[in-house]
Amino acid sequence: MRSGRVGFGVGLAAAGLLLQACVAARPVVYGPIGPEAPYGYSDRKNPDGGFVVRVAMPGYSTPADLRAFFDRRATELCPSGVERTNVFRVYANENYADAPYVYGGAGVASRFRVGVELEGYVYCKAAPAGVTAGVAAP
Amino acid sequence: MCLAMAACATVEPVPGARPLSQANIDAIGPTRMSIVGSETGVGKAWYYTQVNGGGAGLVGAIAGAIAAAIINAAPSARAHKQAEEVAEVEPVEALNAAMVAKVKEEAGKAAAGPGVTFPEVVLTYKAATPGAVDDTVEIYTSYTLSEDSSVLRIVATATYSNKAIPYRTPYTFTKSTPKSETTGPLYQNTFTYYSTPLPIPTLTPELRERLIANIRESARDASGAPPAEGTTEYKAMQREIELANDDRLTPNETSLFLTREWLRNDGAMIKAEVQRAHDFVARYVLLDMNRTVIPSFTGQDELLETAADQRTVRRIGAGYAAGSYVCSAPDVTAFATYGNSIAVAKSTVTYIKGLKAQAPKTGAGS
Repeated sequence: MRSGRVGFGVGLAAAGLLLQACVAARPVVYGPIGPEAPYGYSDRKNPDGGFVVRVAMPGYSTPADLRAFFDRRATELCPSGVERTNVFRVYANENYADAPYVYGGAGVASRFRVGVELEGYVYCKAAPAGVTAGVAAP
Repeated sequence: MCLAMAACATVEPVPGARPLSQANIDAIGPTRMSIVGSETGVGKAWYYTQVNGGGAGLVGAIAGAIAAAIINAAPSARAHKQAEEVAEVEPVEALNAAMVAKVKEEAGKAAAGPGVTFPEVVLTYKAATPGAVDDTVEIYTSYTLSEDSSVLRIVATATYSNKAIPYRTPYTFTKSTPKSETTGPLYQNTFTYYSTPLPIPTLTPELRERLIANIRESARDASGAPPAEGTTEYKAMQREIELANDDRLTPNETSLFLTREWLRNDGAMIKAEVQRAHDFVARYVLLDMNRTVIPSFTGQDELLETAADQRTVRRIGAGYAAGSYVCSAPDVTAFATYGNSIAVAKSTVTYIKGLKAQAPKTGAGS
């Protein structure tokens, strides 16, 4: 391998690592989204009595992964049981990278998922006397 | 590097939606509405893979172009064929006529009301009459089948400009007002409709066989002959067959099966979704033209409507899309992506070219 190609490769790898650092991969731990936790769930109460629950995960996650967090949060918000849910958005945030210039070779454009999200409504069953409804995450 | 990149994004952002003020609503009153005819019909989304062989000099650049042709030949042909099939059941002129009819119907209901009303609704093709129109609400609509054809997305953008009433930003900025907030339309908003997603088929040996048969069939030329060995078309077909033999259905492969679902019963499903989308757009554009609330970049979504089948209409509360409207299907289970290219039916292109040719020629500077 020529030194120019090695240098280019090292440079590309370094740039890749720097870019990766901006979206540092973290293990997806179930919990509320916050300044230190880009992935997880967030929710709030709706004027109609239901909740809006949003789940965010890294790009490699599947709709089933997102749904598992959503259902778990729905159960937490509804101590007396979930009456119904309505997922209205399952979204993949994709980035398209132009074909790179590869010294002495050919580059092919790539597409990759930066992150995925799911959002939906959760409606709880009426709570029996003495049971308090869940509290939306801050 | 992260900090450097973040620093580039410190311009104070504002939502894209521009509501009218009460004074402007009163000033505009009854006005003309123009449905800007779609010139693409139902487009089929697909992903164009770019290849850069420039690193290997001129020979590499030529090789790169050939590689790109081989990689993209089948997905492009497939997307264009599907766009053509959809255009046969839902031609562009029918789409536009349906939109005009629906908006006229809604405008008629509010004809006597106060505020901005639309006594006149017309269809205009920019190919025939290009240029901006003053004192007229214009609605641009795009119709796109997702890469896997599971979802039909319909996006309408409504704008209104009036030379006598220039736009004044309702936002205050810590530094100077950005240039983008000193010009442009007085009113603007976006209305997005997502169809009920079709279920993604599971890859079975039988489905794989059907897929390969379809690839072979699609590779035949106009006379029905298969591509000759060694040609670019042959290599493209072989590549598609190789891809079809793996254990996953790509969105482009999936579209082969799902587009057929849309076409069943003379496109009944696609027509029903288009009709529902037009109904959503017509109702909410008319409502929004008389709504004065200024969207905030950091607000919250509002649930405006839940239909009997649990389809919802939301007004987006935050970000650039704040203030825009989204009509979503219930119980969505999969991602739908829209690639980086849109295939337009040949029949649509021909139709629009015909309109352009018939349009009266205007002199320079007019």
